[in-house]
Amino acid sequence: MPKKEFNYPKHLGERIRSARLNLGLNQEQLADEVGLPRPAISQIESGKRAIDSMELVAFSKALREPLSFFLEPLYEEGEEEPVKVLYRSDDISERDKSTVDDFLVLAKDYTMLEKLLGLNLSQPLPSWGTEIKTKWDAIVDGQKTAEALRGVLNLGLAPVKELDKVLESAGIKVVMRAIPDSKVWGFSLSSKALGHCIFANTYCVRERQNFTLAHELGHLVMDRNHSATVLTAKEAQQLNDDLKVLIEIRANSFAAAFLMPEAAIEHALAKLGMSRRTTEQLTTVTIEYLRNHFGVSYDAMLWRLINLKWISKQDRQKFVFQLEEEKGETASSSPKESLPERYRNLAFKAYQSAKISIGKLAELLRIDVYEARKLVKEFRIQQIPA
Amino acid sequence: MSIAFPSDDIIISDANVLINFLDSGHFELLIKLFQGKLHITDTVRAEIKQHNSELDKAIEEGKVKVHKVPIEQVAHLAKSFENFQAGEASCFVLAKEKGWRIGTDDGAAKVFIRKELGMHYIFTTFDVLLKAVRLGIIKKTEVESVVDEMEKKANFFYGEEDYKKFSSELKKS
Repeated sequence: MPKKEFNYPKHLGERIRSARLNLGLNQEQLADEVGLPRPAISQIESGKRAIDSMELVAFSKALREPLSFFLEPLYEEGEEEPVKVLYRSDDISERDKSTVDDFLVLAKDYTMLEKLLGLNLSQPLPSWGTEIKTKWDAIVDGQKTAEALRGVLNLGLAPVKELDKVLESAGIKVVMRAIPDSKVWGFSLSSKALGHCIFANTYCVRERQNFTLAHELGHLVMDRNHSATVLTAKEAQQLNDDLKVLIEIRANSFAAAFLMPEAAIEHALAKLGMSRRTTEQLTTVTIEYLRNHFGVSYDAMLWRLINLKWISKQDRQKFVFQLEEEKGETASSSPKESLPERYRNLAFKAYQSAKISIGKLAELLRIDVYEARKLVKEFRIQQIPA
Repeated sequence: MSIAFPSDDIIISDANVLINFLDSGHFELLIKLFQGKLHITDTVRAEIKQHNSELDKAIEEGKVKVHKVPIEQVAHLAKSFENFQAGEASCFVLAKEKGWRIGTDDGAAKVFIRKELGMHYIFTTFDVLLKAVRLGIIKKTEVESVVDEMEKKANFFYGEEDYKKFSSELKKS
């Protein structure tokens, strides 16, 4: 049977639309950026108008995606299952899919850099999850695993306010981008080709981002044959009502114990002169202090104290008014504000050792060659072939 | 075994060599030196387009020739040359096909060209300046200020060893 002809206009149109949505641009804005009339963008996106190489480079620059984003399939045959799971999730909307596209290309570039530099970090985390049958199993397993992993990562009892950096240094690919007006807080992916990858929506408050990262970290470490999971506001709501599956309860238990170890809470409260015998002294001020100390949301801190029996579920009411204030909070980062720090470092290292060109460096950093030249000069990076 | 040498006077340039001359205000030097035998691909042109209209003028006047790279080939290049940007890769392919030198200062490109085509295919910004001095297009005494302007205006950043070699060649010429 003859091989099916690859339909470039259609494929390119879909990619361009996806990248445009990810940046939050309308067709008019994109038309201005690339110097084409608005109807042309509409025709290109629907695959009715072909584009030439020069226009493609213009789209690549305007949409801050490498050429490979537009030209290559996002995943290879045989590696597609985790990606399919992600795309098929009911929690991923059309708008969110464009973020997933962007995330996948970045993860691919990240993996390429690791391979180029001889770093074998495809599966950096241990696999520790045990079989769970009850809610209690899930909670205990989550807590035990969190303690063990803190030990492996040498975190002691110190608060982990910037978990993304800790995970990055452990070899996990962490992508933090804003998806405004999305119910998705984050998602994770485990694949043979891409390794462990976590995405967190930076449109949520920083504390929520940290909890999302820890929750997805829990999935990566404990779920057997983990492929892809999505954490949304809806799920978290259901969890509070104990309606979610055990595996999600376990990931939440892990996240809570990882970010707020029991011994660390006791230690922090002891510094305030409090113990389990004086729990009646706990006030909203104390909880605010603890949540700042551990870098978590007020709500997460409250639930952790309830689960550790420092306060009762009934007591929750008297602390709960604080939550109203949190509802309006959003972070301020733009969709493409930053690339992972480790990724940037690997890109510069690959450039320095002459494993990639300046043009490729520009592509990987999602900038044009002019900006790349400026950075190379500013950082005084001389290329020395290995 | 015979070594294939590239054509001496034709160059296919990547974006960086072009930027050095365009942004420093010395593009005319490059034009004079190659006299219509300066080639680029349309992907390289697109890199420059938004920043410089001088290149468009030179193309219109036939002083720079642009080679179209079909989308399908760009896709192929992006996949086959994952360490390079498609514009750079398209230069390698054309150079090999036509037997032209490649204008590049990039370390990764030099490693690749040396291995795949041979060191004679590499033509750097410093090589351009040396050739321009030898042909009397610029004076030896002017070269330092040209390099200085490339550094300041075009963010030209070069290796110390390359500069030493260039200075020594310049003295001899």
